[in-house]
Amino acid sequence: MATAGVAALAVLVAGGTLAGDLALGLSEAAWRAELRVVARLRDAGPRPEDPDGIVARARALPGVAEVRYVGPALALAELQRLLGARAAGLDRLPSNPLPPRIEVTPAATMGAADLEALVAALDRLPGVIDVQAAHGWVEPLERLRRGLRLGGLTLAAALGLVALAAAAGATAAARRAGRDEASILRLAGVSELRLTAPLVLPSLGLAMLGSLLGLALLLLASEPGAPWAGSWLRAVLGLDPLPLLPSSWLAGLAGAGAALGLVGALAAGRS
Amino acid sequence: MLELRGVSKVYRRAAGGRVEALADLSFEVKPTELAVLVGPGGAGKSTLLRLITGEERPTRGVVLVAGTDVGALGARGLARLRRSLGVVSPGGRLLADRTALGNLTFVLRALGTGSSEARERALAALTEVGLGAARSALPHELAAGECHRVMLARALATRPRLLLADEPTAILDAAAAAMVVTVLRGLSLRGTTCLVATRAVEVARALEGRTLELTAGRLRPEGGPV
Repeated sequence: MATAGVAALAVLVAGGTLAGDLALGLSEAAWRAELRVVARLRDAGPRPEDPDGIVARARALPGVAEVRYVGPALALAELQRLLGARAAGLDRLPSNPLPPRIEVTPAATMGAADLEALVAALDRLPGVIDVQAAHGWVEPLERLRRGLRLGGLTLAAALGLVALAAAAGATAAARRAGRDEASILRLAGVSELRLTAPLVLPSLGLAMLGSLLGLALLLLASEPGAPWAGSWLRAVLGLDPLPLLPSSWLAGLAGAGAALGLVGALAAGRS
Repeated sequence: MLELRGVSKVYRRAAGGRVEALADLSFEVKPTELAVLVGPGGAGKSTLLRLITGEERPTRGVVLVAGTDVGALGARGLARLRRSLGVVSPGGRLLADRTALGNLTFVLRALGTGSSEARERALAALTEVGLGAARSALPHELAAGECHRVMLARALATRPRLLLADEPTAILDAAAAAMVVTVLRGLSLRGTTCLVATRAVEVARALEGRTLELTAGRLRPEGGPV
């Protein structure tokens, strides 16, 4: 039963790590969709969107997905819309104080270092007063995801090795117990497959059972299990239910768990 | 049925050096023939039988069983070959938790025989070696000689084409030994090829088969007195 228990834990930890990483990835994608690098301009020139204008030069920088030019009049209109009723005083200003700007949407795959490089490159463009970007969260989030993947998958791999060793141990014990029987049958012409199968199948079955148990626990901690375990997860672990992993990943986890039992049992059963 | 061509078997000693257990053996046992391999302990009789069953491979030469080179067989081919062999050896074992009958039926069942046929064949084989009444006895309830006869019955129950018996009478009393000799002769008469290895010259004579004399791993030319 140790094989089943440890295989369940290995599958749960691996699945939990992948689901946690998926959840962070989804949040990151949503945050990144909102991420803009804003460069305030001293003077954009008469035609900023011409091929040799500031917009084209910004668009040519590496990692830039989209560039939007916002002239002073549009900037003031957007500010008024944003402020609503509180924007009444803006009409009384003698002149428009807002400078033109470009809003740069970085490519979704850009890491923190590349974002830093993009901000610096934008800052170096002629006519740019300053560059503002709320990208301070990208680097800590990258570190968190890296740490989660490394820690979780390392723990899952370690548990997998323990499950493999448990399967090998159980099979070796069964092989020792059935040594006389096997030697009699081998000499009588019973095939190695027939001799090995009764040793390997129990460990394979236990590892499969453990994998399914691990998957069931993972599903309980995921969105489909929220009606049953969601409140408990929030109360005890302070976590929201994890996103549901794609079915191919779940099948892969179940297969990997079963493979632990098979490999361990084969290693001990045929040696 | 069985042919050896220039078979030698050399073992390497852990401490260095080599031991030649069998040297350039060549002989043939024809179908339904009863051949008796006679020789003292350490002559190489058991080694020769292990070469025939494929438990060991010859260093040189070829062992052919029904035309098949045993040394060239893989695991699957070896299993197929062994289904045509019956083996009785002093190192053989019985399963302690099974009755005499159970020790026979579990082999037959593993070979794919139906349960009622397996029981029938097992009972017939036990009866043939004079142990029909002891079918329900566990091995520890049987004498050593009786256990040996159960192992002979186990070999007979699989209906082998070639029976290899290593010292089949070594630990039997005179009456039981005579019964085993009768069983082996009867088996040969019914068409099973038999190769019996024994150090007991009187057993070899009683079997009335062709005698092959093995000494220090070498065969003595046939035709001389035993």
